[in-house]
Amino acid sequence: MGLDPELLKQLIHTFKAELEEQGQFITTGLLQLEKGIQDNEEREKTITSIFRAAHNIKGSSRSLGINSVGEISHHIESLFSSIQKKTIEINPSLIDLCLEAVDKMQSAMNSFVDQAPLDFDFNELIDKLNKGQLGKKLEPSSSENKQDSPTEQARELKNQHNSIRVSINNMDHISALMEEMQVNKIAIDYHYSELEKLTTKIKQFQKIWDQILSFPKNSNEQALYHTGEDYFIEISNDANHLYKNMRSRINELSRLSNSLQNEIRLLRLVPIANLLCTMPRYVRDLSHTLNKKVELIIQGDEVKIDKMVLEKLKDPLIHILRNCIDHGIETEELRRSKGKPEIGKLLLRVKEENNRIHITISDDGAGIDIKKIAEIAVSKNMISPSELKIMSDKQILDLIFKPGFSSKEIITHISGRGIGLDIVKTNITNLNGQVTIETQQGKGTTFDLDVPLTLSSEYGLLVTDANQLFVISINAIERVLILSANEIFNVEGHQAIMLNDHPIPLYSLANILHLEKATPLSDRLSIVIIKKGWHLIAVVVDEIIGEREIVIKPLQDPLTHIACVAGGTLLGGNQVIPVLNAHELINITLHTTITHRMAAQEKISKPEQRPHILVVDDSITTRSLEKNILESKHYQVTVAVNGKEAWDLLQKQSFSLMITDVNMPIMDGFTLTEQVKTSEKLHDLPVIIVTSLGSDAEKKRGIEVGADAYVVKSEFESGTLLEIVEQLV
Amino acid sequence: MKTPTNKYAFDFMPQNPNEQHVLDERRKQLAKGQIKKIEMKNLVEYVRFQLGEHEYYGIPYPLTKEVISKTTITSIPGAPDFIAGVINRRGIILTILDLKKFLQLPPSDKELNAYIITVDCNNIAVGLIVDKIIGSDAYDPTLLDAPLSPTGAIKPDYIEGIHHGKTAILNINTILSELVLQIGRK
Repeated sequence: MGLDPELLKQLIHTFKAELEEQGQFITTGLLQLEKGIQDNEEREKTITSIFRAAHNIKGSSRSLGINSVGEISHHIESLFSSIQKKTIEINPSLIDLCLEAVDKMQSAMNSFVDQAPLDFDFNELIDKLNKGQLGKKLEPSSSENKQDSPTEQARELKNQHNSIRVSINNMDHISALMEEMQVNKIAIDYHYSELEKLTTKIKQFQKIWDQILSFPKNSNEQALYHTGEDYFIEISNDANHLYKNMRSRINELSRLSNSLQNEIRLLRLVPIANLLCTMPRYVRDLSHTLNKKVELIIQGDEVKIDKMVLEKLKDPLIHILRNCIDHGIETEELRRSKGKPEIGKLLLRVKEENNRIHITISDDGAGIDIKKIAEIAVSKNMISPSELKIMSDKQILDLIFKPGFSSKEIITHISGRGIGLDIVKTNITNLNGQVTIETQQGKGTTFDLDVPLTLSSEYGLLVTDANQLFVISINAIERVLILSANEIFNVEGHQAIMLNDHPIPLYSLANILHLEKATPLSDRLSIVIIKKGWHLIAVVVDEIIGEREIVIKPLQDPLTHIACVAGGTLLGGNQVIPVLNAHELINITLHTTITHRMAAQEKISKPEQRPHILVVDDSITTRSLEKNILESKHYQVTVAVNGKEAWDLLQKQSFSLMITDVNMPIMDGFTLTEQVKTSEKLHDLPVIIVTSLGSDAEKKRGIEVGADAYVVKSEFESGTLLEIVEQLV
Repeated sequence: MKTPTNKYAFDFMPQNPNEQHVLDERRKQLAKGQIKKIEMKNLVEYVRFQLGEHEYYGIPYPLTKEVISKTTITSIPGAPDFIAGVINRRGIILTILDLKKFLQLPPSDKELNAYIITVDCNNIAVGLIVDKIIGSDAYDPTLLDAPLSPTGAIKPDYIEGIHHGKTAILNINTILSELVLQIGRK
């Protein structure tokens, strides 16, 4: 084909997206057919549309020379042509076959793009498809449909996709420009109000001028005054004119820029159905594998959501669904014996409220046994038995979101694609969302996800302290209080306040951030209560200004590692206001109390009180990165470059924790972990395995050799590593 | 140059063959000058600025993005003290470096801090506070003097070389990577 290679590349890229869309379209249709469509006309329509989708794929793939995809789609098309003509009938195995064929088309496409050989048996698939066709007698007329003229096909495509694709980078750029325009608009507003003041001043001057005119003057002066008067009237008129003209223009500009901003925001929104339409297929496959009968009901998937948020919702949703099917919904027999309907019900409901999206996923399964959760948590040393006594059921239930809790349980039960609900929690928290769980023994479990509509806009509390403005994200704020100074008391040598009969430690924002603050505490204290998990702290600020809608912009290199600042926001003016990372503020306070205590201990006892961590990694970059992260939290760190060296070190020194890479020369991480875990002296040493996004098999292996936790390298910076370390040490 | 008011352009035209000859010669020379300039294209043009009262520095133009007059800088808690803070630049939060503090120069009696030069190197963009912009100049990289010995206050790595004995050309690449290292380490 004499096509320009660059153009061909672009075409292939476009076709890949088209294949995904059309493939999804076929899948949805197949699943509907499987469920059974009552209305005959509706049924015919579905069949025709699948036929057409397959036909489209065939046409495009052949024109690009992707013959494997072309061949498969041709067979799907023929099958459905026969179904249309009622020469063969739809049956479950046929649906399975078609679903498989759709998957294989995707994988053939990927192989084509990667220039790799096919990763499935092509002939076997074609064979099966042929047999499906021959299930009843072959319909020769099906080949007629292939003769569609390309122009007709093109016209059809054109009508279907009356839209264009825009890269998200472009969108970001446009949004940034729009914000900048808003900032300028606000500045113009300000100048306009100055102009308004000017016209008032002119009016005031006019009064005085009138008085001056009434004074007796000689004729020379009189003439001068009159010339002055003429000029003055001119100035006054001009100013008035300018003022009025600007008023209408500014109102119009406001209206335009607001609706433009709104439109730009809407452009980023896509229906949540884009993601959810893949779920029925997923639930179907998984329930087949697990031999359970599950029905998924989706409600409210027309709600629109920012594409970026949507993408990050995918893994958590899949994870929760899997959790529900695997752990929640009972087997058919069990359900029958309990008097429940045989088919388990999964309800996925989407709702939009106050610019946030709520997704609830509820099953009518067995529910979660809180006692069992508590047992596991204690056995894994996540909490102590004494802590357990004071924990509420809800707090215990929340433990399943902690890293390291569910890893073993989940991996032994199912294909082990993830490592636990902590991933769900991390992903949702990264979106500035929240995930909560409710369960009723025997009746079912409900997961509730709450995420913002768009990533870029949220609400923050504007406060001042140490003569500087700060914003604290509203999600982390439990409540806001004004207290008088005599309501502060001391407990365990620390200032605290009472909230719902519980003491909460009190800090000043300036102290946490190491800012110099001249003003002493006044009698009325403005207090913001922030939370992280069930840690609450009270923070005193100079003044609470109020809640604002904010757009958080990230800090750029080299400031990307400043922990307590999540980013900056522009409120009206051009000035950047730091947005504080509330979780990190709490971490700082926790850490300072520990270091205070440690400092006190160090004076009396030996100085080696810090947990000593052994980091094993053959890459110098990863090694130094881990070392930096850990040392920033005052852990003592020793490094080793391979398993052997680590093993030798372990014989000589005592460590509180080991973090190891998998692939290393001489002795790899699995062998090392296995040796540690089977050694009498060392088997209590907690081990964290670190990999770059490894395979499922790798993860499984890590658990088998006895690792206590599993961290993906890309999650280092997000604090996951530190959180896990904190738990295990 | 002042032109006497009673003369017209025509009066400056060559009036005799002699003058015509001079003009031709001049024309040729000017044409040569053009060629000469093209031959010296390995010169690097730079913006020359002042830190404190009498220290001069330069940054090659290819690394600079713009020079802006100083606006309100927001300080960032937790950042090292040589980071003056951040500003909003076309919707992007730009880190501002207090160049004097970073180079450990003594604070001057009269702080001017009048301008910010934004530089961009290896995808890191930073604004540098400078006291005064002097102008433009050009240097030949092969003819720069070596930085002063380590007795000077500034780390020699930060200086590419000295131009004409008094302007220190900054090595922006090293400075930025050092910045990332130092702050990343915190």
